[in-house]
Amino acid sequence: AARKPFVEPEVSFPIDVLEATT
Amino acid sequence: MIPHEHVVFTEFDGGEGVLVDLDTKKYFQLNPTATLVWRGLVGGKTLEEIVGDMTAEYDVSPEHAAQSVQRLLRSLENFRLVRQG
Repeated sequence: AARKPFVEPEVSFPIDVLEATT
Repeated sequence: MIPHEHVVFTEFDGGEGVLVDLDTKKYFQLNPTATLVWRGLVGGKTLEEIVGDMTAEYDVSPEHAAQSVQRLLRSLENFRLVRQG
């Protein structure tokens, strides 16, 4: 089965939940 | 490495995921390959097993995948999302 193109695993910088909720 | 107890994980249809740190009230976005790693951590898999999952699904060598996973784990540890098991 064809494998998917690889993309480097990344975690974003933290985002404040309260700002997003507002 | 194991996920911290105060971190909640949600996965979306496209393979991306979100981590919410209930202590700091901050959230983090994971791309599909990072989500695969997080799923492995939740399942208690070893680094080798996670690398195996990565190479089975993505076109990447085991050596490259291992380096990428270790780099991600360092980032997750810096953000206090995982801890030593």
